[in-house]
Amino acid sequence: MKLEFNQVVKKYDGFQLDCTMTVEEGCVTGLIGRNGAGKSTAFKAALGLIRLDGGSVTLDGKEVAKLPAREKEKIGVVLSDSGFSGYLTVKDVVCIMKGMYKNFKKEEFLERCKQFGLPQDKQIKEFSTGMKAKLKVLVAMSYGAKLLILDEPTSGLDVVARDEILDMLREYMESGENSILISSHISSDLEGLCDDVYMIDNGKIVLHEETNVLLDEFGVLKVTGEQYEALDKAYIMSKKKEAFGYALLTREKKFYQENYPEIAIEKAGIDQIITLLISGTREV
Amino acid sequence: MKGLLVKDLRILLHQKTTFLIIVLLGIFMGTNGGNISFSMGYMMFVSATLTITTISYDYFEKGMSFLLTLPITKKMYVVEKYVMSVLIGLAVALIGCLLNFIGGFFGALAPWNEFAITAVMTLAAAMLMIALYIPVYIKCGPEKSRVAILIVIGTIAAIGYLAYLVVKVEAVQKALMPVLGVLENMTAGQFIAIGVALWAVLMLVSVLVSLRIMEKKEF
Repeated sequence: MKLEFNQVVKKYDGFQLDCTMTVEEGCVTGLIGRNGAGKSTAFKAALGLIRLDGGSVTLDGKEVAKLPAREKEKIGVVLSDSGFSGYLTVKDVVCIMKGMYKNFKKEEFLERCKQFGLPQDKQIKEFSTGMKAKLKVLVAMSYGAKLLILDEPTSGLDVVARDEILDMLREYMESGENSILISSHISSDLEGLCDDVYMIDNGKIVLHEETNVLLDEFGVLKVTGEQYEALDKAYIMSKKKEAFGYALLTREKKFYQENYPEIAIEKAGIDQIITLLISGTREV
Repeated sequence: MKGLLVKDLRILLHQKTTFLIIVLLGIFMGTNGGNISFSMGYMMFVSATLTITTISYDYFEKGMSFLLTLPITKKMYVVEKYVMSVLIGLAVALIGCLLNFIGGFFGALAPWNEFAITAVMTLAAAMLMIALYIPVYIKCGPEKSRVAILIVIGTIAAIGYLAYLVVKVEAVQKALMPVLGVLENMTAGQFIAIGVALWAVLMLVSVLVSLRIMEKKEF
C-alpha cells in the first residue's frame, strides 16, 4: 500500500506541521527527528486522528480520514503512548481482536505471545515497559495488515527483544507488497531496516534520502579552523563548532576523501546527521 | 461494533465484583422494607453508570488515540455506547425478573404487570440519565466531566426553577389555560404516546450531540 502526505498542514499554537512525503509500496520508510519535531503529529495525520488545516493524507489514493472501518483493517498501528486499556489481559485482547478483525490469526498471535513471554491472564498495566511494547507490535502484526504505522515500536525493549521485533518486521516485508512507516529514537534500528528516511525538524521535512545513500555517501569531516578556511565548501551541508575546530556534514564523502586526504572523515550515522543538520549551521 | 461491545464487556467483566455488590444491595433493599420497584430503580441507575465507566477506561492513558486506529469509526464508537447502555439496562431488567421470580417462592412476588411498568420506566429514566452523561463525557473526558456534569445539572435545575417562576405569573397561567384544558382531556394512552415521543426526541438529540462532539474531537 502506498501512503502519501500531500502538502499536509496542521497548525497549533507555536507549531506548524508542513510536510509532504511518501511511503512506497514494499518499502520501509523511517521518520526521524528530535522530540517535538512533529513526528507524532505526522503519525496522527497518517491515522486520521487529527483534522488537517491543509493538504491530505491518502492510502492508495483514498483519504485516510474518510476510510471506512473495513479499510482500516489493512493498517497495523503502534503508538508510543497509547494502546489497549491496561485493565485488559492478553486473553481479553484476543477476544476483542476476534471481534474487530476478520483476518485475526489467533493461534499465531498466542504462539508469539508465548514466545515473547507475555502471560495471558495478567492485566497489561502490570506488564513491564518491554512487555507492553512487544504486545503492541504483536497486535499490529496479527491480522495481515498491508501497512504498518509504528511510532517508537522498540522503545523500552532490551537488545534481544529489539532484534526479535526487527526480525519480525523484516519477515513481514518479505512478501514485497507490505509497507512500513516507522519512527524510532534508536537510529541503528532504522539504519538496518529502512529503505529511505525522512528527517523532520520544527514540523518541516529537512531531508529525504535512501538509507544506503545516507550511510555510503554522507560523511562527517573533522577539520581545524585553518583546514576549514582552505576547504572547498561546495558540498558541505552543515557546520558545527566543536572543541578542535568544526564538524562538517557532507553528502559527497568521496570528493573530500579524494581531494583532502589529510582530513579525518568519518562515516555519518543517522544520529550524527540529525545532530549536524538540526543543531549545526546550514551551509547550503 | 461487535469488537467494541466485546471490549466494553471484557472491561466490565473486570468489574464483576462491583456489579455483584449492586445486585446484592438491590436484593437487600427489596427484602428489607423496600419493594421490587425500589430495587429495580436502584439497580438500573447504578448499573447505567457502568457505560460511563467504559468511557473513562477508553480515555485512560490516551487510549482513545489507539482505539480509533482500530477498524471502527467515530460514529460507531458513539452509537456503541448507547447500545451498551440499553444492553446493560436489559440485563438489569432480566436480573430483576429473576429476583421477582425467586421472590415468589418466599411470598414476595410483585405483580408482573406492576413489575413490567417499573422495569420500563426505570430503564427509560436511566437511559435519559445516560443521554445526559455520554455527550458530556465524550466532550470533556473523565477528569473534567465530574465538574461539567454538575454544571449541566445545575443549569437544568436553574432553567426548571426559572420555568416554575414564569408559570407562577398570573398572565402566563392564563395563557397556559387552553394547554391545560387539552391535557385534562387527554387519555392515558395519549399521555404515554407523548411521553414516549418526548423520550425518543431527547435520546435522539443526545445521540446527535454526541456524534457532533465526537466528529469535531481530535485525539
